[in-house]
Amino acid sequence: MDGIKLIIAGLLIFLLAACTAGPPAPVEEREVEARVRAPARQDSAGVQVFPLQNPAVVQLIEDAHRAEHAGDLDQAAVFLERAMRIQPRDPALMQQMAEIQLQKGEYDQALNFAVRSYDTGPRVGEICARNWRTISVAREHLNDENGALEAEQRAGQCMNTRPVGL
Amino acid sequence: MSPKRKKSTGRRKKAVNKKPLRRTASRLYRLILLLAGLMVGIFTPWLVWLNYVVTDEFEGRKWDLPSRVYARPLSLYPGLQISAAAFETELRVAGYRSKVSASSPGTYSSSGGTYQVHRRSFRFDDGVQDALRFQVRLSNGSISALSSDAGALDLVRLDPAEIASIFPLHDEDRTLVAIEEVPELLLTGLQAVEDRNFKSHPGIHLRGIFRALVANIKAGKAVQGGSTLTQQLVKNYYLSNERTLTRKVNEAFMALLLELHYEKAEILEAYLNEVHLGQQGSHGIHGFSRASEFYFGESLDQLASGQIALLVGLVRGASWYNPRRNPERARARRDQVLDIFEQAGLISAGASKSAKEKPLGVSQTVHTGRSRYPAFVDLVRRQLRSDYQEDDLKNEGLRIFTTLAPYEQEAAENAVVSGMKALTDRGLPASLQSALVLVDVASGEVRAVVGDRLPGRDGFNRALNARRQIGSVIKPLVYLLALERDADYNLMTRIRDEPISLKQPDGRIWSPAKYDKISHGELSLLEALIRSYNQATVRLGLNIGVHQLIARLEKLGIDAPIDAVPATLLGAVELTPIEVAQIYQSLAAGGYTVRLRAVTAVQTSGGETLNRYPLRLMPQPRRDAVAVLNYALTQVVEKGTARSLPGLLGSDAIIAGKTGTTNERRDSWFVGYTRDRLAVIWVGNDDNTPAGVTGGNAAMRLWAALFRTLPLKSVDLDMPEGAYWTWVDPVLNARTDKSCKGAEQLPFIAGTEPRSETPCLARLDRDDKKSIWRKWFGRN
Repeated sequence: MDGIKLIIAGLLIFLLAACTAGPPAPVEEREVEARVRAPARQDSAGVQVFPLQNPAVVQLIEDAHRAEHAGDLDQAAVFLERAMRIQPRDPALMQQMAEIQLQKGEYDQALNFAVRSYDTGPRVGEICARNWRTISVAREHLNDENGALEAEQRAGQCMNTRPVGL
Repeated sequence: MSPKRKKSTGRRKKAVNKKPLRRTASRLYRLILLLAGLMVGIFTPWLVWLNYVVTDEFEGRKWDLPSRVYARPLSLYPGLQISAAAFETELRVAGYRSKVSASSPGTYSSSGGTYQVHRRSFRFDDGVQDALRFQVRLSNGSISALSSDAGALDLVRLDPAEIASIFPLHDEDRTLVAIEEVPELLLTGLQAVEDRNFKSHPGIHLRGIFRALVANIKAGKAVQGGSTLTQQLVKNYYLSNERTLTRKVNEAFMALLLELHYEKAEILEAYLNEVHLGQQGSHGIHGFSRASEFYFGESLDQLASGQIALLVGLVRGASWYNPRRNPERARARRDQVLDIFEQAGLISAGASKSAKEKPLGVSQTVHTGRSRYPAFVDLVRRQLRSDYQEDDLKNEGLRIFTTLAPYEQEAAENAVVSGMKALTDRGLPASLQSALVLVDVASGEVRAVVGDRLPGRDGFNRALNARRQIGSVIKPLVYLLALERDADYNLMTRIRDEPISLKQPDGRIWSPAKYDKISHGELSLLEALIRSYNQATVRLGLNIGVHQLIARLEKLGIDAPIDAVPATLLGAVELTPIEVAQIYQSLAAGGYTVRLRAVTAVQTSGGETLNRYPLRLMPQPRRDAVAVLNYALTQVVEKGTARSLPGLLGSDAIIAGKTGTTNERRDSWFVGYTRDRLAVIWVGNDDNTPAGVTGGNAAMRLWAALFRTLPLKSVDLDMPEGAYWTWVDPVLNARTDKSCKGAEQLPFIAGTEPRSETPCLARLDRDDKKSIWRKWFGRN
């Protein structure tokens, strides 16, 4: 009798445990870190572009980072949108939004924000590499293998070319 | 009931064997039993029914919460461009009161450009934000310092203005108030005047009824009502006003039942929000909070004791004591109520005396309160209609966060009001109407909507619903389609502005009107667009195909049916101002189309987020062509049909725009954008009769009036990937050096620039030449 109760209790605990999501994966273990940020950082050692940022925007970016680490991606996006209302054409903000969208599995939006970041950004250095790596990963998820490959190559060029017209 | 009946039949069987002498007593006994049975049989269900009615009604009212609509919160940070007037508008609309010192949340003080603001606590969709006292310094139209007692601050977000309540009950208007927010004097004073035993009675007060009866007989007329507050509340639940005995008895029982079910505080709160205190047309004014706005234009917590006394006095008869129509009578009643306050020890004799010396304090303008910005709230409803039932909006107490910017909305309303008056003064018909839509370029967030030349009027919303021909406002899309065919066209491509006749499908001949009765011969794409030449545009459009234009309009979110006829190329297409704004947002944002939004998030009354409407980009494939077109539209303002705009604005910021005029001057359009803001303005007659207006003489003037009061940031002319700037000689159609005479810098889609290069025939001192390039970099 007691044995059956124990089994039932154990089963219930098991089922309940399945209901609650575990803590979010640490950012270091997420795809965005492994395939976008870390390689871009590595590539761009020496070629860095630091755009000046409004302290209000910096504060919101930090809030967004915290939300991202806590796994609350919707909240992170809300902070970034607030920051964009202050600096609507900030390429760093748009790239951060692209990376949030990537983690949310919103691949078309990840692609769009990364492209916009590239369009308005320096098109060189670390942010350029992050732009193209995000585009590559997003395209891969959207089953655009050739596009992903092309973007991968573009990421490699961020460190040595300066495109025409700038 | 059935067991009782059985009981009585049982007794009857026994009674049959009794002696005749006792028959009368037995009959009486049976009659009493019968009556008792009937009482129980009828009274109980009746009571149950009354109980159902009254609790259902009370619960219904209790939970019928209006949706609250909030403006976008104002974020303050050092460097934010905002004038002192705009900042004060934001504070005023958000309900901040100017005080000597900002001692409590919701107040501010100012001196010499420095503001002390005591922010209220507020629950946003990203969490609760605490109250905060901070200081902000404005100089030269921007924030130069921001700090709290703890030190400098990078960012402060104000709590948002509540701009409307979407309320459940038809023809009733109210602003709900929680009992904790009600001034003490109103709570105690109301009981002193209407129901002294409210705290202790069980719903009805027999002694009170008796006393009222005596007083009324003595006076020979009704001077006192015997009803308790609970009875009055129950009475308010009925729609009709008949006075019958049954009704009185029903009310009394319902009052008792209500008291059984609910706390005194709950009943009092319901009363405070329910009682009828006035009438505005067909709308009843219910509740003290709403009445306070209606009569004084102030919130309840701001009222002086005399004003509270007036409102309490109105309970007796809102129409009889109407302070606007019968000020003498209202004054006498107020003074009477002040006496009662004094007798009850609620106010001192001195306070009572000084309150009596004051005027009634009723504002002459009636505050509608339904919503401050009806045209914008209309757009909010429209956006929410796809996700929510109208009933949910009305009674679930949703918290709706919108994109409205109060100071921009007020600036837009002022621009329309003053601009339309100026047009009338200049001899244009007084019947003219207008509509305006103001949008944040990058996010597509709608900042302001005006749907009537009298913006407060809640009627036909032209910004959303007036379908009018857009005329030349459509032309940029024709040129965009041309630029996208980059093998054939760039801005320097020569096209002909010459008469053209086309056979229509119905056999008639159509030829476009020449606005200035001249054909201009051969000219460049750029010139044809900035001067808005009809014949050149039709020729170009026919090469591209009308179907292409219609397909593009559909892609940009226009679902109105459009005829595939050549006249479409000249804007014989009926669109609403908000649809035009949607089309131009795409251009102004460099091809990063977003759906225009008025709502960013919706929460339950408890603060749980139900929906978010995040920023979603829908990039156009040919952003290179959009960027080149954007430059061309800055030239419309620089030297084309809108060249008088910089003068009207008093600014040399780079602005892009397009005028639009329709046949016989029926419609005047102007669409213009800076780096951050896009505004679409329409002027015309509602009945579509000729109005004597052109894009330049009417709508553009309103646009200038608006942007004279808003920060102006130059349009961003950076080229995206695939397009770039180069120096050309437009006459020789060749690339050249920037130091050559006649050289001009133009944007090209890579590969469309002229192939040949011309050697310099003459050098020029470029400092003399006014080029947009210089102007553009001049600002850095």
